[in-house]
Parts: sequence; C-alpha cells; structure tokens
Amino acid sequence: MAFMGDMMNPAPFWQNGPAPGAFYNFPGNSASFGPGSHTVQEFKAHSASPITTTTTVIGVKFDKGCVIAADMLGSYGSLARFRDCPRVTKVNDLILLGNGGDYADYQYLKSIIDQKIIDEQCIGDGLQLKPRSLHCWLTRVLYNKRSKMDPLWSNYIVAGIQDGEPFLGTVDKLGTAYEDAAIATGLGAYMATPLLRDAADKGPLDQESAKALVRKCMEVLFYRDARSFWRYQLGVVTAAGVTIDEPTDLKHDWSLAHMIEMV
Amino acid sequence: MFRNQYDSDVTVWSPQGRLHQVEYAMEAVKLGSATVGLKNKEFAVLIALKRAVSELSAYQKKIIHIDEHIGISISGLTADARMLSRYMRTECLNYRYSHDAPMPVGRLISMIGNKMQICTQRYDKRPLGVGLLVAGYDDQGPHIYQTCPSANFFDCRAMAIGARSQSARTYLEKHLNTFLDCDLHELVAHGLRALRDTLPNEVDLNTKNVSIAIVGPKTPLRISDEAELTQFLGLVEGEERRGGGASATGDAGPAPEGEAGDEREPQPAGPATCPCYGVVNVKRRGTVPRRPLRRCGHGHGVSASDRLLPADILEAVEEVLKNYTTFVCLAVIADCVLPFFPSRNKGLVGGEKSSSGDHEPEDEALSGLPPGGLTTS
Repeated sequence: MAFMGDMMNPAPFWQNGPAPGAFYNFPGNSASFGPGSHTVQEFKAHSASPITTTTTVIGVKFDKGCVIAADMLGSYGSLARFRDCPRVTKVNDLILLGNGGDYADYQYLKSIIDQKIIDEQCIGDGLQLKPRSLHCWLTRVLYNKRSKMDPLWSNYIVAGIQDGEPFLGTVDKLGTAYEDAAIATGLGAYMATPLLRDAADKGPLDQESAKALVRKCMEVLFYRDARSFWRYQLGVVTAAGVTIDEPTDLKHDWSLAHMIEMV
Repeated sequence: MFRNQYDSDVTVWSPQGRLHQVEYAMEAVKLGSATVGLKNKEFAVLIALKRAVSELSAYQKKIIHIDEHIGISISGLTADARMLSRYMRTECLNYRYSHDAPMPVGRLISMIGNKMQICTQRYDKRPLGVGLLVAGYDDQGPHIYQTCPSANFFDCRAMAIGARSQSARTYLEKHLNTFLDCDLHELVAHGLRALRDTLPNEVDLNTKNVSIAIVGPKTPLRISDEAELTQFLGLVEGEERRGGGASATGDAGPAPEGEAGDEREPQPAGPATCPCYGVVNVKRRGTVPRRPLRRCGHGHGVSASDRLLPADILEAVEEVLKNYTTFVCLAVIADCVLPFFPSRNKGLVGGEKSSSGDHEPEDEALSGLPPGGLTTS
C-alpha cells in the first residue's frame, strides 16, 4: 500500500496555497515561518519581500492631462539609504509612469518597458503604445508574477493621454488594477487620496491647480510619512507630450515639532 | 513528374535563381475563386466570389472573421487559410488580453509574413498555398493587405486575387483614383463590378455566390447578410457588363456543359472551353469516364478553336499522356509537340500567347490541379 503514502501524516491538500487563516502565503511572510512551511521554492524567497523600497507615488487628473509626483528616497528598511532614486519617468510621448515599492523590481520592469518601446520604434509604423495598453500589460505581468508566488513588489501609476483624453490608472503587486481621477499608493492612499478627492470634487482642475495640489500632498506626506524625503520629482503629461521637472526640494519647517506630543 | 531537377525541394535553387516550389505555391492562389478588396477614406471592403463544389453542396465560405476590426478573404487551399486564420485570431485575442486594444493591422500582417516565410526556407516544410486579402481598421484608418505564399505582403489601395482576377485588377486600376472619395455604397459597387469582370458570360453575381465584408470606424467587421447583399447587388444590377467576361470560362458555379460532357465523345472544344479541356477529353477517351475539367488553373481562360491541336497530333499526345496521371495543359503540349511537326507549326501556339497576357510559358508545365482531396476556394 506504499502508493497511498503515509496515512497517519497526510501531505497538505495543495502546495503553496494560502495556509488556513492566511490570505497570502508568500515565502518570507510570517505566515510561512516555521519548520513546516519550508517548501521547495525557498530558493526564490529572497525576491519575495522588498529590500530597497520607495514610498508613496501620487497621481491626479486635470482637464487636459495628468500629474504624477514621487519623492526620490530609496529606503533600506528604516534607513534613508539612497537619496537619488528617480521613479517618475517618461515611457513615450503619451505615457508617464510612476512607481513605488521595491526599487530593484521597478528597475527590472522598467528595463523591459523601455525595450518594449524601443522594439515598437524599430517597427516604425508610427504607432505608439497607449496608456491603457501599458496599464493592462502591467496588470498581466504583475498578476502573472504574483501567481508564481514571486511578486514584483511594486505599485505603478500609469498616466497618459488615451485617444485625446487623460488617463490615470494604477496596478499593485497582486495585479489589482483600477482607474480613478486621483490615485495615491502606499501610505499616501490614507493621507493624500482624501486631499486629492476633496480638491477634485470642488470642480475641474487645471494644470496649475493640479500641480499645486500635488505639491501640497507631497508636503503633507513628507511631514507624516517616516519613509519620505524632501526631494521629489513631478511629471506632467498632456496632449503636448510628457514633461518631468527637475527634482524639487520641499521647504520644510520643523519649528512646530515641539508642539506635537506623542501620547 | 518534375518540371526539372530543381523543383523537388523548397530549399533547392534553380540555376536561374528561382525557387520553383515557391512559384508553384503562388499558382495555388490562382486556383481559388476571385476575391476583391478595396478601401476609401473610412472603410475597407472585401468582396468574394463563392464556389460550390457541386450542385448539391453549399457555397464555400470565402471571408473569415478574425476580430472585431479584421477580416480576411481567401484564395487557394482552404485548409492552409484556416490554419492562418486560427493563428490570426489567436494573435488578436492575445493582443486584446495583454494590451486591452485591437491589434494594429500592419503588425498582424508582418507576423503572418514572418510565419509564412519560415516554410519557404525549411526543407521539412512547404509554402502555404493560399493568398489572403486582409481588410482591417485601426488607428491609422482602413487597410487592405495582400499576402502571398512567397511570404510577401503588400499594403494596397485595392487588390484582387484568385482565378481570372486580372480582369478585376484591370478594373480596379482604371478606377483607382476614385475610390478614396467614394461613399461606402459606391465603393461596394466598384468592388462588385470588379468581381463581375472575372465571371464568364453565363454566370452573374447573386446573393448565393457573393460574400461582402465591411469594416470601418465604429463599424465592427460585418459580413453582409442576404438582405444587405440584395441591397448591394441592386447597385450594379442591370449594368452593361464589360467585354472582359467573354473570354472567361465557367468555373464559377457548375457550368452547363459540365455534366453533359461526361457522356459526350471528345470533340474539339468550343470557344468557351479551356485548352486543357481538350486534353482531358483525350485522356478520357476509352477509359473510365471522369468529370470533365472546366478549367486548368493556368489562367487559360480561353480557347479559340484555332488553338486546339489537330486530331493527328492529339493522337500522338494521347499516346504520351497514357503514362501520366496528371493532366497537362494544352499550351505546354503545343510547345513541346509542335517542334516535331514543323510543317504544322503555325496558327496554333501564337493565339495562346496573345490571348492570356499574364501567362508565362515557364509556368505552364504541369497542371495546377490541386493534389487529391485538397479543396480550394
């Protein structure tokens, strides 16, 4: 009866699935700690949690385009390790891309996207990748990676001009994707999104008010988010093309700090 | 039965720098019935002539839906076309899945081109025996592309492929400059007229043997139903037909002399018969009756009686042909046999050369009949 295996100690119903009571069972998570959970694919466990990370990226639509902003800090745990990590980039004349999360995963995927654009230019048929296509493609890639239990630890914001209209969408490391008029990832989802939505609800934004709004959010996040940084990038995409400003330095003032009391 | 020693394999060059297998595959396209594609500023239209294998069977589908924005019309081996269309459908679906957008037509065509090229270069493959007209609409507007078994593809303003499509191309060339500013109805009417020029006199377009597909902005690919066909056919109904049809033979739909021919003794073929017809009849004499051949696939649309071989030479040809199972086109026989009859060598081959303009003697060697069982449309 050897073919029936060890009847007193049955194998789990499936490998790598969510453990009872756990939504996700990525290797390296606390859910998979312990002797029983060391599985064959532990060799890739090093890539299943972020190392050098970046924080919030925010994006907002205005009447003729979109704005994206993100600071330039690469954190190593809580250490502010790298201070020059650009993560708002031009993909092509129609698309502006922002990222937060593991910086290495971003660099990896960015090189693939860049090659995609080069391949497209080599075809030379004059067609350009559109933001919705890139957004969809990122969704497929990220979902595929997470399905292999090896997620790319990233949030992406895709901004661009889709057939003349502004487009703003986001994808997270699980491949969850949506479009919205205002998007902020990471801690910014809790602190910046309400600010962005409040402003957007008061009426349509123009480019200048959208940029001012995003700068205000960056300031709020800088004061509140311990993984943020005072130098940030801001990019704008309109029908005229993509522009990314030189990195801007926040004017910060901590003179109020002594009045804040941690209870 | 090789034409010469250099056409056994697709990887073998002839000393003239030709790949005979590829050129033979190009001939397969001419076996299918004619199909026309043309476009204006907004719409791309495919119009195809459907054939029925027998009077009992339905008309063979000629236009295949690939995606919302792309359709193809086929001429040549149907099975090869089905393989290509499945590939195109898969690629379009994959593109939609990964990019949430319709596949750009030009990119799909270049993928098809790459796929078809492989089998013109590998010894274990054969070129596909099908030509496609691809109609599509994307961000760059409407497109008509033509693909060939040689893996060439062409971006066209208008094109016709298939049996006797030269007459359709002549029509299209004549009216090429008017297409861009046509409205959709005029465009379809032009296509129908071009297609009708490929028909023999006794056959006309009807809702059974015509298939029309339209694609354009906010117009997903639509293959016309009978009501719409009737409407479109009404556009060209009753118009005077060009003279081109007079030289054509009846391969579209069962021709009347077909069934009767089974019982008839071979006789000099009438003006509406291909030279190959005579050869087939010769072959049939005294053997098992076969279905008469109504066309040869060599583009021998016509035979005037003066192009038929005299009876005594036919006897000699029959003697030779006993050893072969493949029918040979009469034009070739004339080329081969007549040098042995110097005194008779006049007024026989000359008419052949002049009457079919696109007809190269080199390409006549073998009958282009499809090998057993492969159907063309």
